[in-house]
Amino acid sequence: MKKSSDFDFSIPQRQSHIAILLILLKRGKVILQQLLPILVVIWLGGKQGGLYFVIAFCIFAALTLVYAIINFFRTNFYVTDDEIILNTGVFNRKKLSIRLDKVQTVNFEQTIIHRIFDVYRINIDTAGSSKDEFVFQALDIDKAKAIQALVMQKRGTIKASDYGIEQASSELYNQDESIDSSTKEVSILKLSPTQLLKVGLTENHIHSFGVIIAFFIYWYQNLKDVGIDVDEYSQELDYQSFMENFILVSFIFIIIIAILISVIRSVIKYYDLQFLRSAGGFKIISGLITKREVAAQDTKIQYITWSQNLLQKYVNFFELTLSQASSSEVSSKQTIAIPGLTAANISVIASSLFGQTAFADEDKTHCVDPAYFRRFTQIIIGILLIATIFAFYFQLLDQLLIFVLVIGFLVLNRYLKYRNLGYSFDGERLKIFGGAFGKKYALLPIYKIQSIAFTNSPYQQRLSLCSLTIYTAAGALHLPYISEQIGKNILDTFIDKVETDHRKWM
Amino acid sequence: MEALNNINPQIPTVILPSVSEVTYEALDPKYRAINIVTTALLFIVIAVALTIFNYFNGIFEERILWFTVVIIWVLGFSVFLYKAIRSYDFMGYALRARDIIFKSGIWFRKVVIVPFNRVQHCEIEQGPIDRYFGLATLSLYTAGGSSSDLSINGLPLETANELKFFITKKIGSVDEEE
Repeated sequence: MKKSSDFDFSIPQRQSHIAILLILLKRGKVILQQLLPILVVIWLGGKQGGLYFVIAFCIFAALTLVYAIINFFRTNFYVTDDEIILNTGVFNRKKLSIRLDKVQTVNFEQTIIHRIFDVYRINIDTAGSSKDEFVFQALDIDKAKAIQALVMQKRGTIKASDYGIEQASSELYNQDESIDSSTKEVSILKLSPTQLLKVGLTENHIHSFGVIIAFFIYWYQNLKDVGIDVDEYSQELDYQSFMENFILVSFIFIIIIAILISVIRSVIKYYDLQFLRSAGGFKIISGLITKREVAAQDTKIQYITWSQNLLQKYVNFFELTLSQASSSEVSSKQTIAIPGLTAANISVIASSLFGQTAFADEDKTHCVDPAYFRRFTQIIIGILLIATIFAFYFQLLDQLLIFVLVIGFLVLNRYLKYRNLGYSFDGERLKIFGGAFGKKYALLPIYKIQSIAFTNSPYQQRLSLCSLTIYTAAGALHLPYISEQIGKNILDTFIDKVETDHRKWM
Repeated sequence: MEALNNINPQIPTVILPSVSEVTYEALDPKYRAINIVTTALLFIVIAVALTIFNYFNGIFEERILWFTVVIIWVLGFSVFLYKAIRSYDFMGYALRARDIIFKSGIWFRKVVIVPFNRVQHCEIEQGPIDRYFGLATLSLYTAGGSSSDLSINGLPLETANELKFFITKKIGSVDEEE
């Protein structure tokens, strides 16, 4: 492999020629989506329309090809001492520049086409409001690695010279910035096919179940829109005997499909998953069809959570999420999930990030007030009473039965949540315990807090209780129904820590 | 219990400045008037809209329906009017050396604290009604997303400007420290 010094990035560089094909496909897809209604109309126009259809398609294809070629030749990039510059635009020239010290990570991605031609799509992630996409459609593997190394290295030197002496005094900065980011990489997890299968089988199948139901509703609506009356078809069938078997069979069928979907989805997403610890960050490589390489910098990670549902408990797997600060709104894209980890893995990650090993329920020092469960139950029973009156009035007893079952589930869920909820904190970190049927833990270093809201409802005021919402740049964490005294104590302690701790939250 | 205390030492809060001990500064009394005016306007608009809607559609022709609508309107109006009148008394802000505190809510009380070293930028906004009364809203933005941002309505424009100046200076000095 060529080294980064083999490329001179100070002179404008083009992407790999494969980029033409990729731009062609990308543009083609977008235009095709927009033109689809027109094309359908022409196609339905009969034989006469067929010719026009072919002509229109050829013109459209030729235009897209021209566009892709122009785009390719007009796109180039180069790296100066402190900036990376991208020239682009087919009709309007556009010059995007990013200061290297603002670069958070350089992410790699490979779709199936990228993999055939052995090229990478590069996405440069910045700390600013990342409205402008800084993406190279295709770079050769050597060039891609070289640009990543160069950017991260230059970024390191800029940051190091900025902090100067401070760096030596603070161990944290040392760890983050000074070591050349491309050198050391320690593998934390490499998912074997058996583990991958386990991950798929122990996923939250309720999620897949929901996907199927949504899919059915979508098609039901679509068929109706086209003019096929689904209700009519189903009424033609012998309703009584049909329904008895139908519900049972379809229920089992949907469960099997749900599990299947979970497994397939896991395989596509997590195939050949590698989770690596690099200097000052983590690297996650995975994917069957589209292979992604995502990096998460320590400084950008605000808090971590790890959870275990009932199935995962059986195989002793945890799923970890790294919640990263996002420049604009908090989006799921900024949260990286890694499945199939053991408690020991979590400990390694948590201690290298926040100096705290994984914890279990024994470490819980504070619980939430029983009112958390009591109040919910009171309200929901009130709703149930009103519903019962309505149900008797309108003769909807079947529906009432389902409603009672749902409410029973919600109350049980809330009770389990109440049992699991809790927290503990020291001068450095807040640990939150949660989960209903499974377990869920969150770990947040206090200095990463942005602001805190202290709320109490009239009901809580009567019982001297309160709720805290702790905002971070990666989302909010909640401490519901805690004693007002402790709430105020936490508020004062945490705010004082945030104000006196001079470490940067990002 | 003692073992627990060792791994999780309690921090004596007495030595820390406490949020519960601050005295809040009230907003401009004109803010109460603004609240009343806007609430009244809103409900008048709703009433007019409903009447016009009824005139053309006759949807509330049934007496009982119309009666229900009127009752809901009256109830809603009284609750919101009460809220507009009283909420002023429950709002207040406190400026401390390193943070700003804002409290609000008649029934559902809320206290938000934003440390200055977490403020991204601050802004002064003035709507048309605000401008008429010479008031302004000061908004502080953090990286914690829109729900964590702090907005203080009903400040005299002058005070808002002074606060903004003070906070901007604080943000600057915090940066230099680091």
